[in-house]
Amino acid sequence: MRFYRALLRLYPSAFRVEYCDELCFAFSERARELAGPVAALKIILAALADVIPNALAAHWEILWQDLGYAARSLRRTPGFALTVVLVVALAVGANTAVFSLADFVFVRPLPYTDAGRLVKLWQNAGGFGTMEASPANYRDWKAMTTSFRAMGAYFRNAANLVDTGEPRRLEIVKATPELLPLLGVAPLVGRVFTADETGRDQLVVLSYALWTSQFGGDPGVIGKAVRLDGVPHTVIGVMPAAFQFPSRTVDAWAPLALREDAFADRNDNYLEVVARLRPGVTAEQARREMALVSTRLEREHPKENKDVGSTVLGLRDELSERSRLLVLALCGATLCILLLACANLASLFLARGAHRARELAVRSALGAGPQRLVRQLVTESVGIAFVGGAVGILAAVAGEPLLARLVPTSLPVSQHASLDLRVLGLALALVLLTGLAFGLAPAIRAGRSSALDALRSGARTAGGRTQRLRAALVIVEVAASVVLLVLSGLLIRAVLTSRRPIPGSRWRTCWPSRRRSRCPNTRQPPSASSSTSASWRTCVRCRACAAPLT
Amino acid sequence: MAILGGMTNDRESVDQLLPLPPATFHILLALLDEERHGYAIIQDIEARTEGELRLSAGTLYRSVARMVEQGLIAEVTRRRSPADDPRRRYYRLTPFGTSVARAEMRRLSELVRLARARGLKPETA
Repeated sequence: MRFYRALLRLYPSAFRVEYCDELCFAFSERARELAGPVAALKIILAALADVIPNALAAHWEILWQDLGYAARSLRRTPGFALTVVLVVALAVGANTAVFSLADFVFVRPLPYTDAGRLVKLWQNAGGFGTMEASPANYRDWKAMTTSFRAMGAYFRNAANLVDTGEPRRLEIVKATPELLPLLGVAPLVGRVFTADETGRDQLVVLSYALWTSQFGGDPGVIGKAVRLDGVPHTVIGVMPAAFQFPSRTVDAWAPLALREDAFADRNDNYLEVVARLRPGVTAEQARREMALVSTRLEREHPKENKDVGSTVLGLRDELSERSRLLVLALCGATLCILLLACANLASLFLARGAHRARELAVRSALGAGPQRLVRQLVTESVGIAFVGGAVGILAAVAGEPLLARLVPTSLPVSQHASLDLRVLGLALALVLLTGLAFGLAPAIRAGRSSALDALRSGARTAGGRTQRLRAALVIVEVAASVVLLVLSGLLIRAVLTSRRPIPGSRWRTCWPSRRRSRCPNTRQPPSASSSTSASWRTCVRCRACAAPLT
Repeated sequence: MAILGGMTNDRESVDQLLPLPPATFHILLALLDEERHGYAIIQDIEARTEGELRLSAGTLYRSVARMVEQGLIAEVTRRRSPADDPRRRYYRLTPFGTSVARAEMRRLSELVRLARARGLKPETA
């Protein structure tokens, strides 16, 4: 019976107080009928089967009753209800949108198979920790290391697509044949290029976005030729929509042929290298092995590889510090908005509570206990928070693509709304917390008020406790406003700086990107041969001299 | 809407409560002939339905609480005998409860009549 009596605490308190003894009596009579070797187990199961569904149903009935009462009460004050809904919608909507973005950037696995084992390999020298590798160093890393199951390299290029309607400038990734298989994503249609095909044929694998926008999503495009910079390329595959590598702006992938002359110059750095760790090998172990290999290469090529080390980073760690700060500042700012909204709404509910003192006093005089009144008021605040939250979540879904444009394209953020169950769960938790945060204090305050006092005073004056609560809310509002102001400043600065190149490092980022551009005095597509490489370098130098560094 | 103490007995108030949940109707039937305490109601229902319906204590008292609030039944304040278990609380049917039970019976009879008129017959065991 002690177990049954303990379970009765699940019932609403008023019901428990009223019927506790009778419930125990009726259940004890029932328990007496249960006999046999496992009587104790039967009694426990019977107690659970009796109390849990009925307690839930009792709470549901009260909730339904309270929601009906809250709806009638709020209908009498539509201005107040609308204000609360809009404020909650703003706070919850902003937080949902920003947290879904943060989920993409910090939490959600990257859209590659076992993405945690993918690393990016860089050269480091002269104070720069992440420099592209030269083909020769890439080849040696691949041959000398054992930490990696596969290693691939790529560089970004650009090409004109002119024979499919509107001419388009495409961002192309020239990749070694290891790259796409090591990422572990199968093509949606067709296949990816193999080692045998590298350099033999002009092949291309399309991104989903390019396939749908330029080819109408036609699977028949496989095997057809498209002209990139006037050169026919055969389409052999289409990657899935979720595959965006190395950034979401990439339109197609083409095979990269590293001919023998590409390995001649160890200072010709333009390859980005990706590798997949062998099972059981940690990034730290790979880092140590790469350090040993770098030392060996420095010994073998003392002139070209002088002070050239290596950097091993997880694929997610590739995110720049500025982008990280941008998203974190957004999270902080929206949390401040949430705090401000809660403080403002708590003030509103406090004022409303003072106006409703007589109504609450009458209910109290009719037999509603303080707990019942608090529950009713909290249901009201949480109920209206849910309405506002629903509006906010819809706004967040609508605003997600807009928000995605705020951040650099290198972030693996979907262009489309991405409200999944986790984000929805977080949003619901936010709504619940918001409703409790702004409703609980005023509700407890109203529940504590003496019925008789309220009837006598007619709620003309607010008590000392109410004044103190209001003062505390004002302090919270001012503090949150100051933090929000500071964060907004940081956010604007972060957005501006994320769109500006880093002074002094332009030459490094400029080189591969200039490689993509067609030099005015040549019609040859860029390749990795040393002669064209030299001409491209000359071209870059000319342009770099002409353009002021920022 | 809470109907206090069975004072409201008009047709509209009765109709608002129909159709009754089966547990409510059975509790009304159990109290038709005499006042009973909770456990006696459970036993009566079980006996009348030949064990097909056995209310748990929680289901019974949730129904009882609602029915008291609706004015269908009322608690009997006097003790039956000094030897009676003090934890037992007795309930009786109010006039409003009787009206609601009658209305529910009429509703069910009408349903059965309509089904019979369409040629439907109960399953034979």
